[in-house]
Amino acid sequence: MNNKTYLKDEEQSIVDITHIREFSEITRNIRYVDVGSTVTANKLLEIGKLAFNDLLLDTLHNTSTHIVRNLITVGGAVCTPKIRYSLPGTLAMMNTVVEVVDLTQTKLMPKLIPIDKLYNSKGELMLERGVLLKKIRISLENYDFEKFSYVGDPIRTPESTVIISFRANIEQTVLNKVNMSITFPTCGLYLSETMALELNGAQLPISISRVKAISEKITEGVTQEMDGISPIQKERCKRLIQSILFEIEPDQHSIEATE
Amino acid sequence: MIKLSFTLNKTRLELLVDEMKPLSQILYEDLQIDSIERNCNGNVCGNCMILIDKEPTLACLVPAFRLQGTTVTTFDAFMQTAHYRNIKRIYDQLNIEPCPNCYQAKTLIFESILLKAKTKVQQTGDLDDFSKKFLNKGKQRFGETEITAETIDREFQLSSCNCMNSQELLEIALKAEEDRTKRRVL
Repeated sequence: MNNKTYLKDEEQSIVDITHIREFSEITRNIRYVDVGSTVTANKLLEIGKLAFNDLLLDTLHNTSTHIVRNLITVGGAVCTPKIRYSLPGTLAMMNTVVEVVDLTQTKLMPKLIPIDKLYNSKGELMLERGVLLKKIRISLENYDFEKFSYVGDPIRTPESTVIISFRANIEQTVLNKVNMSITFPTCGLYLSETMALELNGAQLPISISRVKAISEKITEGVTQEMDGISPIQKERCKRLIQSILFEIEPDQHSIEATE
Repeated sequence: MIKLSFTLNKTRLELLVDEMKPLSQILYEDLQIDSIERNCNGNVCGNCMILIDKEPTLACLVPAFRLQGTTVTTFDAFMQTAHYRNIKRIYDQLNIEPCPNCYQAKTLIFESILLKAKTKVQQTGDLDDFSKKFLNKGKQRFGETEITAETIDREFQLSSCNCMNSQELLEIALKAEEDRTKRRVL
């Protein structure tokens, strides 16, 4: 008999929760959807076509291939210890919260935690041993402009990959409620408040010089706050932000109505 | 250690294995099946692909405890099925097939794509009002199961071998889907 152990730092038992109904359910109301932690990315994509916004669907669709998505669970995608993939960034920007329960306590009280609070400044998971992620709660808010964009391969080349999720509302020709998250797989997650400050109230279309200035400002801010970002990631981050901002166009119908 | 019960190529098996042992290692070390790649050191080579409950899966990513009660089919057993014969027929018709290194992986990726492909959605005009509701900014989300160049590029990222180009892969996938529909290969 082969007595090798695999992928274990220490002796521990594996508790398989995939067969527990509560963790594989998806329930919804008008404002949000609760997704059990063992729901696969493919299942979420199938069901999400009827409920979720384009941004989350694009994120799921671009999360690897169909074959690998069958193996990725929502809880697993959120709880990878040291590396961040695309889903947490989009979920964090959508004000998603997770429900966790501490199994080491005598009283099992569920707690709701915003998803961006699960990680430290280096992008490492801060949940302690014995804490179980039961479900995630995703809001159903839709925005006028939503974009998921990435460069690189977070599995094969995480040190040079950049992933950006962006959304904003457009009223007449003015931007508001701007949100953006930037994920560097080996460095962590960055929720950009600078972007909101710079762009809320901005008149569309945004000039080339202003797009360049904003992208440089945000990239500088990110590299100051986060360690370990490579030069190629910095350049890719700047270019992705520029391409997203160039894509935002004012509503043509609104322009015609005001003329 | 766990007592694992599953079906492999229509044979019911019971094994005592480490609960985290990957399926690729179980097949090689415990069952002496050496037809799949066992360890590419995380390079996602795609060469360890097998079928679990008829779905193509990477054997190196499936720990033992996830196999309880499942049906595992290796590529050798898949070659006896009508689905394989459908794909092979198209390889022969077009005189194109993957190289021996990635034949298994690419064939099972085709199988995965074909399993997901349903009724083709050609153009917006062909859709009824119910279906049009799900279209957004020109993207055919309802027709996401349609086989496109984008589908091929994305799904074949899993095979790192470059023996075939996107055009050839797309042609095979489309012809195989047409053949399955015509022959009603379920």
